[in-house]
Amino acid sequence: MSRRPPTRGRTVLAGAWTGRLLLAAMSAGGALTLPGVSPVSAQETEAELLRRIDSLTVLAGEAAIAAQAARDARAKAEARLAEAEYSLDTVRVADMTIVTRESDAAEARELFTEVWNESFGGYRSRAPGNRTFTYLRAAYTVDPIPARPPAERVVVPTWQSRSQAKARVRSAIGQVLAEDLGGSPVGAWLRRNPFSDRAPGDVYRQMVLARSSGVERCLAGDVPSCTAALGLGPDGNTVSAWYSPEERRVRALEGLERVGLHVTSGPSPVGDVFGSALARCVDRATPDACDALLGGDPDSFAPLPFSVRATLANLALERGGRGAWTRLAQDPSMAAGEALAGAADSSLEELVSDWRAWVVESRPEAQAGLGGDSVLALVWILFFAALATRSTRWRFA
Amino acid sequence: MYQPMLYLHWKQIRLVLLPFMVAAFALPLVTVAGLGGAPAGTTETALNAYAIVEMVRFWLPVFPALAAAVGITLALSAWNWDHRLGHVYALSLPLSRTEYALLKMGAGATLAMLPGIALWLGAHVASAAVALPPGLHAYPNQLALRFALATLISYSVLFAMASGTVKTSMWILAGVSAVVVLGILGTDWTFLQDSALGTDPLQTVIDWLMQGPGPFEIFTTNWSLIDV
Repeated sequence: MSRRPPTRGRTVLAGAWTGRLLLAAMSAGGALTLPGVSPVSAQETEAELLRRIDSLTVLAGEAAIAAQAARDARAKAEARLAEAEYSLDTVRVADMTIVTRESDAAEARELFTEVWNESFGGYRSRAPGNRTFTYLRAAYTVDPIPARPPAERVVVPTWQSRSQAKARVRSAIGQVLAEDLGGSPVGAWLRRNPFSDRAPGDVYRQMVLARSSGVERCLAGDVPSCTAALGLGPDGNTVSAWYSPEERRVRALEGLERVGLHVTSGPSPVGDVFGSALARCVDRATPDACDALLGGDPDSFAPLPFSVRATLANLALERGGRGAWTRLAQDPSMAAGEALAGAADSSLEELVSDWRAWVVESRPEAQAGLGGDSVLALVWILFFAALATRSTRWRFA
Repeated sequence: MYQPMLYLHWKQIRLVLLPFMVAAFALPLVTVAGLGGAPAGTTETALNAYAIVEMVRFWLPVFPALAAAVGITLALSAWNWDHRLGHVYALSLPLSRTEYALLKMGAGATLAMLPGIALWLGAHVASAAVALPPGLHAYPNQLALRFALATLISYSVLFAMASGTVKTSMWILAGVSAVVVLGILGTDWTFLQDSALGTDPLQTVIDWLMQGPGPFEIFTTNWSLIDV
């Protein structure tokens, strides 16, 4: 008597195979119905592929435009929101446009007017007229005032004094006007805002650690060495005026090590003109043997950074008073030293001498404040001792 | 009463304190190791000044870290036996709780001076071993004073915490955790932005603690043995 397989099992088995076939058919159909996608066959031509790439490129371009429009719309919405929330006002001072809160408008006008008259009075430049400033006096440092770039932002914490606020405003205006120096010898020498903050103690520290015998002589009192170290020497920026032969050797070999070339002695790993120069430098053949390896812009080897040069420019502008900035920027062909001397209304030697004296006087007290720190620490120690004696451990209910 | 407590604490901690003393003496010497003369092959004092200060800066963070480690170890060990024995010994003494706690704290503070003295000696030896170029000065006394104060601060903070009950410690930890969490969340709370807490409350709190007039301000000051 034959046993037929259960009908239910055969039905299930048939159903499973049917399901697989249906699933495969649906997948194929789904793939075929995806927009713009079709199976790439071996007969697909290069032209067809390029056509598809072009179409995708157009789509990408449209997407970028739409994203930019969305960002612009969001920026406008934020501006409207900020205007409603902060009640913004616009102040104009000597071709400068200052966006600020209504509550800060009077202060902004006073500060910008004072700073402009004191430090930039009489100077005519188109740059400030094309730039917007924002001014905010608040406890936090994030500036929510919307302004299209390249707006220069001035944020003054509430705890800072008026003179500190003026310094910030001066720095912001200087940042804008520094663009006027671009292309001139003084601009190439300075390369930054002359009103940027720099603690005098930092300058002294930088000079002590400059690894330059020229700077060392400057600190010892040799003013011409200071002039050379600042890149204002009569012979121009020469590395030999800044560094001794041994210091030049150290810098040259350090530069090579930074690019992965380790050389101590023995045959040069590179057998050409560069290799022979390298060998002469390593072996100290002549005092200037390593100068050939210090190529490029001499300012890139300057012992003092541009931020230190900015302190000299700052001193010149401070000494020159009203009209100093105009004298600094009026002649784009004037040498940097002459421009600084003109701005300060004195000789370059006198200016550099005063600058050196200022740096030496500003030598930081490395252990300043130790007395106060000690007293504070003792107070806290006594406080915690009192806490320890008041422990709840021995307090019975 | 002070001497027995000092002796007991010393007996308990000496095997841990001795390595700390050795480390405190050796650290200034390690800082100036190899800086006895100009860099190899050179005679330029300007290069030497840079090398010295760079090496000192490299080891700077280790000094306050060592001070904190010494203080924490002494503080936690001060109450160790009391916690283990249920404070029976303390309760059996004819002393008020205030006197007992102060004597114990004084004993620990005395032991905390030992690594400070070791560091003071090591700093003087290190300063004498280096020929300082013009513009640089050594500050061994100031460094030792900072080290001693930092040790005492960390010791007193942990001593006060350890003197309390477990419940008190949990309250303190919960409070610190709450400050951290609220500080992180508070960056989105605009009503704080015009307040003294500013846009980053957690950073503001950390600044209060680590800078004057906070208790840990001594840790963030200048710990350089050799500087301009």
